[in-house]
Amino acid sequence: MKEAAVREREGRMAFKWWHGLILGLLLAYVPGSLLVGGVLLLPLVVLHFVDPDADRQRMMIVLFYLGAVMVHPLRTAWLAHGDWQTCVQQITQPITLILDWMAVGVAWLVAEASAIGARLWYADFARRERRAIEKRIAALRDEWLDTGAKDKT
Amino acid sequence: MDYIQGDDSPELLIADRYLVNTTQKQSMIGGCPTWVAQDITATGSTWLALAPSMPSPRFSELMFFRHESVIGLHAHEYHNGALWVLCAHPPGPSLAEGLGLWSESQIIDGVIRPMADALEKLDTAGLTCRGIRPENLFVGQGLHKVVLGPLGVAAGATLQPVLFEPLCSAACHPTARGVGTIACDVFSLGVLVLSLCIGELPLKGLSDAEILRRRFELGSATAYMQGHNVPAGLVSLLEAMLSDAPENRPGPGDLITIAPSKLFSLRAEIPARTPLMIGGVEVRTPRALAWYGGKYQNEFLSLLQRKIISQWLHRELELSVMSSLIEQAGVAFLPSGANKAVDPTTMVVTRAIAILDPAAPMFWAGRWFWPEAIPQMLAHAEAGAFPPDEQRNIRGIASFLMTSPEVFDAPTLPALQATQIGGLAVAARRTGAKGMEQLRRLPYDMNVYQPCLSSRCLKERISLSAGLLQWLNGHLSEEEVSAEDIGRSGFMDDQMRTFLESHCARQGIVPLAQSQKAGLPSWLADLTLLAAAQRRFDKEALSSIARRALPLLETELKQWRSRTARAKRRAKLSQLAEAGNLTRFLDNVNDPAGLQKDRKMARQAEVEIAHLEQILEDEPNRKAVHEKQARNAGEFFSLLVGIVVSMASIWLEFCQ
Repeated sequence: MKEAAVREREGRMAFKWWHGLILGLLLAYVPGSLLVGGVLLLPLVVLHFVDPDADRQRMMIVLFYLGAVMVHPLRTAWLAHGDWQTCVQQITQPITLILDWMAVGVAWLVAEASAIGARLWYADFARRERRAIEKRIAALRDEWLDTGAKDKT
Repeated sequence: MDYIQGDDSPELLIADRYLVNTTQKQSMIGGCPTWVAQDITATGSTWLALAPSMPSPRFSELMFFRHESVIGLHAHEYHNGALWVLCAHPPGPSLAEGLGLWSESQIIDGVIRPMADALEKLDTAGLTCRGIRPENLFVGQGLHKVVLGPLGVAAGATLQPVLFEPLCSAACHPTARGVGTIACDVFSLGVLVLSLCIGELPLKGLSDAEILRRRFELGSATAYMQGHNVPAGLVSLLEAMLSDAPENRPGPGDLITIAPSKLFSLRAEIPARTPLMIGGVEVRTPRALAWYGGKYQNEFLSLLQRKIISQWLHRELELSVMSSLIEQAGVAFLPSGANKAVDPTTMVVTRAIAILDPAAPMFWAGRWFWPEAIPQMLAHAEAGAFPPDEQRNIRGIASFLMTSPEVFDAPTLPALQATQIGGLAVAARRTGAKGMEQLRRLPYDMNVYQPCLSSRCLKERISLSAGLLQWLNGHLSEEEVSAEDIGRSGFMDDQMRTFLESHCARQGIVPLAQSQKAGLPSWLADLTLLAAAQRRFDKEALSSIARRALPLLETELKQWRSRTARAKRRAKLSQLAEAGNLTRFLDNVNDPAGLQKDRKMARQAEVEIAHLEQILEDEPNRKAVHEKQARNAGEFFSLLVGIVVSMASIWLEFCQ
């Protein structure tokens, strides 16, 4: 089996023994924060299962948007020293949850919108290029492929 | 010097110096129309302006000939390409107006000695005079000294009357006499001396044919002197000078030392006692037989075949060598098959005549001529001096002589004829042309001063290339030559073309013999030739020619592929047409390097068009690429936004 394919499987499998170790440690020491992070990262997991096309790139994009939402609850959880009460309170705040779920949508929206924008820009570019080429062809034909019948004037 | 003249002005200013009033014509001198010319740089001095229409081929040598008894040439000038000869006034009226009776000493001192001196000088220079005839000899009032008219203004012996010519050239048509030898001049001098002795022309009142008949019958000397009272001291001299055999005539050197009663011994020719009958004429000498043999060819041939001539020569004249030669010539007539192109009977007559009279001119195809006169005969034929069938005959003879000189390569051929035929063949080869073109070239190649023989400009006597170019430039209006004519047959006719080609060839230029053969349209070939001539001979603008060529050359521009190049060249073409430099005018269109570059660029343009079309065809592929790129760009942008948003969130969280 090729090395690249091995690495890919490993990437997808993702979980190694030290993952479990870190997770266990986090669970032991900051279960609240882990809960907040886990809940808030839930849309990513859902996206991963719902949209099989979503590649790493897409995941990364969504991660940044989710990260933006996660900053405040995680800090609150941090400041409360992982207080369970506070953590639960954080993940039950509707605004945070709505923002969290909307972040996925915003990520998608921004990606699509800019893709459309780029497409339009490219189309315009192609059109202009085409027009330039056609003009050049016409000029060349006029200059070289005309037997002199027309320029009698 | 404001001598501005309109075209209708009767005054002509030659070389900005000699003013000729064309309304006041003088009597002809040397066979040329003559006017009085006033030298405007020196008041009161006048000259005679002669307009020679066919100058001698040796004119360039003859014009420097100076002798006290020949009117020297003062100058020769060109006006509009036509040759004008300026000479002093003759000392008095010509002898044609009255011979007068001269005494023996007057004749010796005033005619024979000075003329013999002049003839000897000419002979030393390898020239001949051929102008000793009454109307070309002038005598001062009260003097007894003849002065000869200017030399070289007429070609050879064309203008000599039959009476003044020896039999060997009198038998020919005037144009076929050539320049002859100094012995011919001695004969003419003899006739002059005789006329002055007896105070009138011998055989006066007889027609040329009758004169010839009498001379062949009796011999020239006897025919001329019979019944006249010739001073006894001159009889022997005249008999020698008027001898029909050139080798019997005294040379000019003998005549200079002439003294009264000097005797010239002469081997008398004994005529046959029993005459030979040919064509109903009694013939007593081989010379007369040769002459009548040419006249009655069929009878001559039958006499020859029946060996009557050889027997007659042997028995009556005791000429055994000639008799056996004649017999051989008759035998050669029997099918030999050496050259199929030659009619054997023609050949036999020619050979037999050459044997009978070695001094006779060449007889070929019913015509007496000297081979050296062929260019001149052709020139006269072109100028329309002969009826059409004779023109054809002359052309046939000329082309035969030029293309197959080996036919005449026989030991019996007289040396003079052999030399002349050889010279003619060399000249013909040197033209580098073939067929009709060669025939047309010959007169121009042999004579620098030969005026252009084109029927359009013959009377202008144009003998200078520059003059022809200018004349052509002035005679190309729409009325004279239509545009279709130019397109079809060019700007010039064959004679003009040949004239220019000959003049170019003399300068070592071959403008277009090859390219014309390569199938250039005739107008373009003409234009190339004119451009070459202009480059070499004439710096004047030829804008009229260029203007007429403009529409034709513009169609030629079609071979340029580039439209802008065409437009640029067209604009330049009309500019150059106005400037009138044909070379640059033509180079604007005939530019192989430019054309090649144009072709190359056209090819490049075609390649580029193909390439661009390929790009256009590839557009769907590129669209897919664009789609992918657009998606990537979208993702990248949203990633960027995501990073910014998270940074903003962190900043809000920690720094507010």
